[in-house]
Amino acid sequence: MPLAATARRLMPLVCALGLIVSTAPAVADTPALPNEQPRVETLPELSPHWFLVNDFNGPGTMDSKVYLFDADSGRMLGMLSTGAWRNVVETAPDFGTIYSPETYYSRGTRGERTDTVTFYDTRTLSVKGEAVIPPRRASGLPHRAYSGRSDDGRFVYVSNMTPANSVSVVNTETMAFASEVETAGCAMIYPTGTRSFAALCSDGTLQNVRIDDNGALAERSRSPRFFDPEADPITEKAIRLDNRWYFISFAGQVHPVDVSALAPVPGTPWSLLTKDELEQGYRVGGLGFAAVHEGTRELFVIVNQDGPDAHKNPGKEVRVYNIDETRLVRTIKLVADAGIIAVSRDASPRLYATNMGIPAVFVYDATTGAHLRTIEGPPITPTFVQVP
Amino acid sequence: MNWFDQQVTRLTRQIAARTSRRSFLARAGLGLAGVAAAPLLPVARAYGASTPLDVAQDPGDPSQCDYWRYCAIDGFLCSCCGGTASSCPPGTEISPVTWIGTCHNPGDGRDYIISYNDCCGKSSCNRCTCNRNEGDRPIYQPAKSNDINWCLANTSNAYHCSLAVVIGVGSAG
Repeated sequence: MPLAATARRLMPLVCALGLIVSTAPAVADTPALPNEQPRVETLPELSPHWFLVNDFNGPGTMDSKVYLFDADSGRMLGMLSTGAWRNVVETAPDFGTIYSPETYYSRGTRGERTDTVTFYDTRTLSVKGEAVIPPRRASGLPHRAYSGRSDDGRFVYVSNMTPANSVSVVNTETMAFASEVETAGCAMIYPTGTRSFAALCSDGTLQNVRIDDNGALAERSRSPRFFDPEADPITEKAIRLDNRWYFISFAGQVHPVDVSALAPVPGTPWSLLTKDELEQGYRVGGLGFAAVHEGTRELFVIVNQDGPDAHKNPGKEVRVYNIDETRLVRTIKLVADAGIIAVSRDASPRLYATNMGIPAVFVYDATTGAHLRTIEGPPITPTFVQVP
Repeated sequence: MNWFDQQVTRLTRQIAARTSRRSFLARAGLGLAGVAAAPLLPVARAYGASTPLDVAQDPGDPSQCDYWRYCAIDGFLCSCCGGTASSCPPGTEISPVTWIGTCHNPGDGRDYIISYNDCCGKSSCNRCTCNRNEGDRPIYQPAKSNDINWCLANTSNAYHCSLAVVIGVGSAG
């Protein structure tokens, strides 16, 4: 190539470099960045729009995680590394401690198994203690009702399945395992007061268990049969308001059960879906399809139109019901399918929606239904959203 | 669940608790159907090598979620992980406790009882995810629930993938 031609070809590059040099500030004109001291963050005061996302980590279930996000800023605030088989965490009433049921093997996927309830300081997200519990913690597709907490925060309950059912009781004050209560034929955990929890039974009843101040079994009682587990089973998903649990069936029947006393008292069922809607294939569905806002006494439910056997399917609309008046208040159209929802507890509530197959959480105004932002993953396989 | 499914479920539970698979198949072949007692236990039996079926009688691709046996499965298909629909991948351990479903085989028009054993001891295979929920029931009915990690009674509860093993004929079709 002739020299002149080469110079012509290089001229634009030379000009561009000259422009860069001429627009960059002279080194001597600006102060240098100050030296930095590396440090570890701590969390500020709790905001009403923080939320936790449990990630069961489908591609590698022996390494689950819990993420903490701020819905207002969209920022991830931190994470817990929570061992194998994630369900959910429990939190202290003041949100000062997170109680996380966890499973570990001494060699990752093999070796000696150790199950714990691990205590995390919420301000630092670091471990401050653990209670070793029987190595029988229930695992599989995550469920909210695989654990619970007493109303006063004194005890945490962890569901066991071998497949025999029992519950490990942990004292949060002493950070120690207290007792194991068998619940033969009844599964899951639905706290019913300061010293009691209930479990759903395969015969269509609810068993209520009372413990003493040491966490040991004191007495138990069964409700009358209040649902048909063959014709229209209730799902494990339920919400609680005051002293009443609301269980929701495959066909959208709401079964209230008063748990004020040791013997649970079923109330009158009501329906979330009309007969016509059921015939058109409408169903409630999703991994965590129900949420509640105590202040407005509103029940939020994900609805799909996939017909029978759609109890785990996500949907693209959330229906909002007044739970006392048993009537539909409004419908929120989602921008993406959701199988999991949660609602913040404050007076300007946010609706958080996600699905196990979508590595993102969608934030809505729970009152207007407006989509406010999308927080993209990780988590990889979000399974439950929890609000402090 | 319809009447037929209930009868099949009862039959399978009782037989699984009492007999070997071979004797079960022999009895099923003789047309035994219907028993009264229904112990509320999952199927507690690991199975040996499966009996090969004629392809025309067992249509479909076992690496695809729409394969007929997968009507109530939830997990990773072992057919995509080094195993088959009825065999675990090398180095894994079959779950001795599991749950059962009933699936319709379009190849011969029969309904079959399917045992959804898990293969355990290694982390998630993470290939060919498949979730179908025909007849699936909540956790408080464990013998009918596909949400449970059936590696729960193994030396490690690490879940790798799921099988769909034919363990009986539900009807003459």
